[in-house]
Amino acid sequence: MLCGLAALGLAPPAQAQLSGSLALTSDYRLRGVSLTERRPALSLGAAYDHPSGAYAGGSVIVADTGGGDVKRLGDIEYIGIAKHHADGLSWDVGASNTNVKIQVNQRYPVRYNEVYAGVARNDLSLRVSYSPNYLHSGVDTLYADLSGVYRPAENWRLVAHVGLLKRLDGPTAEVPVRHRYDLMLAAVRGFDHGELRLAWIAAYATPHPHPSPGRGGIVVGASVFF
Amino acid sequence: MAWLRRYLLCGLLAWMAAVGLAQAETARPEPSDRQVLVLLRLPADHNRPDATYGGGYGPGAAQAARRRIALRLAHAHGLTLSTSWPMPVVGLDCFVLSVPAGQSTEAVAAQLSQDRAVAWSEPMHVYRAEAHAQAPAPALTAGAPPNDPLYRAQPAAREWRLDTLHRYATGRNVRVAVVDSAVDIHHPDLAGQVLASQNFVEGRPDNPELHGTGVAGIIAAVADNRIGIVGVAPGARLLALRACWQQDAQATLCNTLSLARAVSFAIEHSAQVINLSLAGPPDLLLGRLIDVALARGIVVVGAVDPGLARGGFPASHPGVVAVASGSGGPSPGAFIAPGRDVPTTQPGGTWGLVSGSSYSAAHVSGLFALLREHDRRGGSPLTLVVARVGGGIDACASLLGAAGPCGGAQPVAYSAIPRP
Repeated sequence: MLCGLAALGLAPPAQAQLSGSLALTSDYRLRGVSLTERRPALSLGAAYDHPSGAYAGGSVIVADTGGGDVKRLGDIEYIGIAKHHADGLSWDVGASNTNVKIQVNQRYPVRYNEVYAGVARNDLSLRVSYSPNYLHSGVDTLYADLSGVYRPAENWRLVAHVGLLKRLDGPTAEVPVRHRYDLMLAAVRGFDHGELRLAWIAAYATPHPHPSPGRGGIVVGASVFF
Repeated sequence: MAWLRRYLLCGLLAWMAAVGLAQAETARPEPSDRQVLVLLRLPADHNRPDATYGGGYGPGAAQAARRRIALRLAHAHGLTLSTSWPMPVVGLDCFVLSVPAGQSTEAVAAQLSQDRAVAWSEPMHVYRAEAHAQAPAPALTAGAPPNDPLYRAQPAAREWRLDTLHRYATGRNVRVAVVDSAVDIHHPDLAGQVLASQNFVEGRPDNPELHGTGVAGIIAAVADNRIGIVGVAPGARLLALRACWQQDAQATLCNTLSLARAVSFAIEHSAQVINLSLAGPPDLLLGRLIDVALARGIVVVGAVDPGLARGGFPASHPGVVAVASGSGGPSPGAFIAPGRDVPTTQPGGTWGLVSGSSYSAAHVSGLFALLREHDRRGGSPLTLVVARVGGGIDACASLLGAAGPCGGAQPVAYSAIPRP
């Protein structure tokens, strides 16, 4: 996106903000589920915030697939709009596209589009996402997640996240899971141009899915911002 | 290939650690009058579907991008980036840049404001607490309830009939933010009254100071504890927010950034009254924060400095309850409250006499805590009632209404000034 703007010779509007990040993680997880069988992954991301509140961003992820190769795991893109309110509440609506592969013995595609809406106040946010065709299987899903941040000291954040994915409708053959819960507790140390993370992440599903993505585990990561 | 992959991964991690985790050189603290603030827009918190698990866990990348903008501006204008502080309450990220000697901070701020990436820039303003001479409190013995020995020497005991007010309200559990110098939170007359204490002044020792301790005591000193004074709202709970520092025995100073951080904290921590016993030049950032506080129903009380135009800022800001002591000359539009020879708490577990509109404002903040508690029961709008005779606030009528038990034997005419 940054390159695209430059190529078009377009200067960003006043007060627009562009940012990028390179993140290395010991295990790439999506909603608690390991996509890399606990192998490291690298993601390159870009984000854009317009003064109107509109925003967009995306990441490309590459991972150690365990077969001696580093392969492209997939990409995630999103677009939306968020606004502050004088009473301290902010709201957010948008849409996202997830197109990645899960690596469990072999590679399975994980593709879905979602629309989402959320509210946030101080360091607490609640969001609901709806996918009309989860995993391109004809199944509708709803994902609700609650996240909170506590700042015990300058440059430190403790993050808690809990999510629930619920199958609403559609054939059960493709997506047999009725509910999936994911949990994350993380400590983050921020620096001027990056951050370090230590997290415990877990996912539970009913009924137990196949292939199994594994459950809880410790994940460490580092990011550089540019 | 596996060994090569591991080698590359380790190398990448080392590079990321070197680049990303390096702390920028911290500039030496500069005097407030040689600094400018640069305000960059802080986008509303929003979803980052790619970052929740795999990436930054938050808006770290966007924060780093704003820091890059500030560094670019500093480099382009020959300035030094000193510090920064995000203020999500007003949707702004605030960067402090130090200006070299020989350059006008006003001119630099005007130039910075022209940059497309900047919301605005302003000089760091300095504010002065509104207080005068101190003296030891007179030695008195405890009398009838309240049994606090200095109660009879308190102007509010006579003028506001505090003992009568406290039969109806004590400000129970109302949160009052004292944005001031450091409060002596271990003072025996403030025991249990401070809900939270936070220091927003950098580079100066955080010891108990005169002005903040005096203001806190007038608002919420413990009643009926056989020592010292009675606060106007002894049931209130204080947020002791140090935004000012004691320069010497007579001067207490604050600056835009320390005040902005303290007011942000007060708003985020659900203060119901914010006491600002200080005055200085108008300020856009502080004005924005006060507007947010007012929009959330928080009462903001400011002390008038008769020597400044319109009583000085923040008292002059629309919606702020401006308070004067009545002894420093006329203060049009300001409420008059006790502010002369007031006994109150002082650092080190002592008490002293203080004067100034700072302490008048503290009285009114305490009174609003009583009104807020009473309002929880009755649901009526918060209103201060001014006696036409003398022009001072009639605290009893403000709390209970002119038709209540406050009129006494002689009827008095009142004029009600609704809360802005």
